[in-house]
Amino acid sequence: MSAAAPTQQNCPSCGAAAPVLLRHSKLAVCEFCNSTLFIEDAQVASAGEKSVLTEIPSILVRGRKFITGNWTFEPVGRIRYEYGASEGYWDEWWVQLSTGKMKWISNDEGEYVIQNEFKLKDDPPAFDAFTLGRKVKLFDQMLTVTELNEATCIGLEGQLPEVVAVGDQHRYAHLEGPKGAMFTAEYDDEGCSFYKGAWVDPFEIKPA
Amino acid sequence: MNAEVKARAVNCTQCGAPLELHGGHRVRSLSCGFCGAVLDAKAEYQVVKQFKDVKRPPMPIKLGATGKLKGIEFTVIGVLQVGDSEGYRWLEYQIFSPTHGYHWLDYSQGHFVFSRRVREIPKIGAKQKSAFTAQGMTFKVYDTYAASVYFVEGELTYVAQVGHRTTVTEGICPPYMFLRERSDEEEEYQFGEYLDAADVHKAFGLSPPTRQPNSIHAAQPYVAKPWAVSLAHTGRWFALAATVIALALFTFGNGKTRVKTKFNPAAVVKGAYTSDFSVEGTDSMMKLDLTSDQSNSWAWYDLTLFKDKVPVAELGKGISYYYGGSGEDAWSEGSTSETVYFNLPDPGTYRVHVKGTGGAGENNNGRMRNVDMHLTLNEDAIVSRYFFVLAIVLIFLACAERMMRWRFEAKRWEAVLEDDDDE
Repeated sequence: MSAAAPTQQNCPSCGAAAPVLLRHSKLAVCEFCNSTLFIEDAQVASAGEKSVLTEIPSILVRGRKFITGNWTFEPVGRIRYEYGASEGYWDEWWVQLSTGKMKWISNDEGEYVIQNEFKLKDDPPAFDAFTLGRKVKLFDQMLTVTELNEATCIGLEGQLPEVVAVGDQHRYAHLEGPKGAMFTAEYDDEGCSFYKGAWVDPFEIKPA
Repeated sequence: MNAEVKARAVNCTQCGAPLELHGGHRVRSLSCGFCGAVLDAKAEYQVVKQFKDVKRPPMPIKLGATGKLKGIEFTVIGVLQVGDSEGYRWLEYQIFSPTHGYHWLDYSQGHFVFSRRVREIPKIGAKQKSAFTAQGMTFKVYDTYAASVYFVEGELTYVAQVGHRTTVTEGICPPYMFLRERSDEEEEYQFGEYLDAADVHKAFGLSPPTRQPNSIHAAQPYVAKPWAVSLAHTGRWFALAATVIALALFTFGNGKTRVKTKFNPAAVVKGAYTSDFSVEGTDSMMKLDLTSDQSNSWAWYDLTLFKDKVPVAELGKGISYYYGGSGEDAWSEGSTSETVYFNLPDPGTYRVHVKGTGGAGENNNGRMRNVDMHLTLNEDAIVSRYFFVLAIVLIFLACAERMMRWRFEAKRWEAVLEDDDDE
């Protein structure tokens, strides 16, 4: 992945300076009027929606640099999902590494997981093929289905690499295996995405 | 959506008792401390099961209490009382921070350990004291035991069960510990850190602990006493200096030889004089060495010191040396030489008269061994043995900290090593 190439735009809704756009950004939230802005060919266009995230306690703060292990990274945007029937919520942080690479880090009440997209060689299993608590053989290992649920986007901020709107929904399955192995399968209208998770000790995330 | 975590309350759906809620959305169960009902936090607090006649243990920290650990503010949301088959009981508090999640504060006989789940899976040996690496540290296997849950109250991130059993293996690298908990359903790993009890009391607003715990916790670090550290640092140099001085005096502190004579057995029996010798100083420290090659025999020598042919001092000194046995049973007592220090106030011309009361060496059969006696008298001698005693005392003090550490470590392992002996 190449390094980010910032460009400067103005918000079509309020005219304020839009955030300095990262090369891979597809969506940004105006810092002043909270309008959602689409980004196409390095141009911003208003999506006509506003997104305000309720602030909740978090180690990560957008625009600040953090260190964990050998990584130095900066959160640049996040999506908040609510799961089930308002059972809870979690944040998906889009972060930029000091190398320029971009990653997703999920945070569910202090559980931090780096999500790495995992390309499947074969067709993904259907969501309905999973049963909560049952084991399933995937990627040459036996994984236990630890959660099956539906997520609804309830807010956005900063810049994101995909077009997401408040109210968007997807189904997901969490699969856990031996030696801390963890996978997330996300299902929406466009298909299935698999992510391999790596646990991050919250006590090892320090301000840079 | 209001995502802030605030204390809420519900009534127990079994007994109606008011129950405070302090956890977040990952809480799975709420246990009523009054009636023992376990309620499903994800299904409108319906009763999942009930554990009756369960006695609530005394708890130093109450549910809902907040305090900072490792710089992070936590709220105590639930508690388990866990115990082993030998009647030993301890508390495991589930604590919650909106930023850092759900962790544990264990309390046992006045000791606190902050522990958190980790995903690292080290290879842990079965043998006690065997080493394994985790969290970048080397741990030693301390103990393996079966643990059961005896009491549950408050919120937990899983559905609690009184009677739930796990097999726990503890590794220690004080102040850290690494635990493997195995049950029929799963295997989890915890990384713990021993916390100073006074700090925990302060963090949760409790009055300071009234006394130090009687026991030593598996992960308790040895904290050296400042005075012992100071003694170890400075004492070692003083001990070295005293030893050097003692050795120097022993080697070079004999003074000037004034007379050195050998008496043959006949002379000893009959009585004989040394030649005249001069003592030059005032208040001179004199060193008298007597040597006689006794072998399973003894001799007693009466010595009289003459100044200008006038007796000024008398002294009796025995030399005996016995030995026997062989190999491991070999023994010996006594010596073939004796040393006496005395002060001579006036300079002048002196001589010594010697007479062997026990002849020149008498053995157990009353026979004479008839050996020579050697006499040496030195002026201006310096007594070295006091410096040797001082050196020994200083070496002991310098090693006090090391010995205290050794005793602490011995006590740490005492309990579990005794367990093994019992088996």
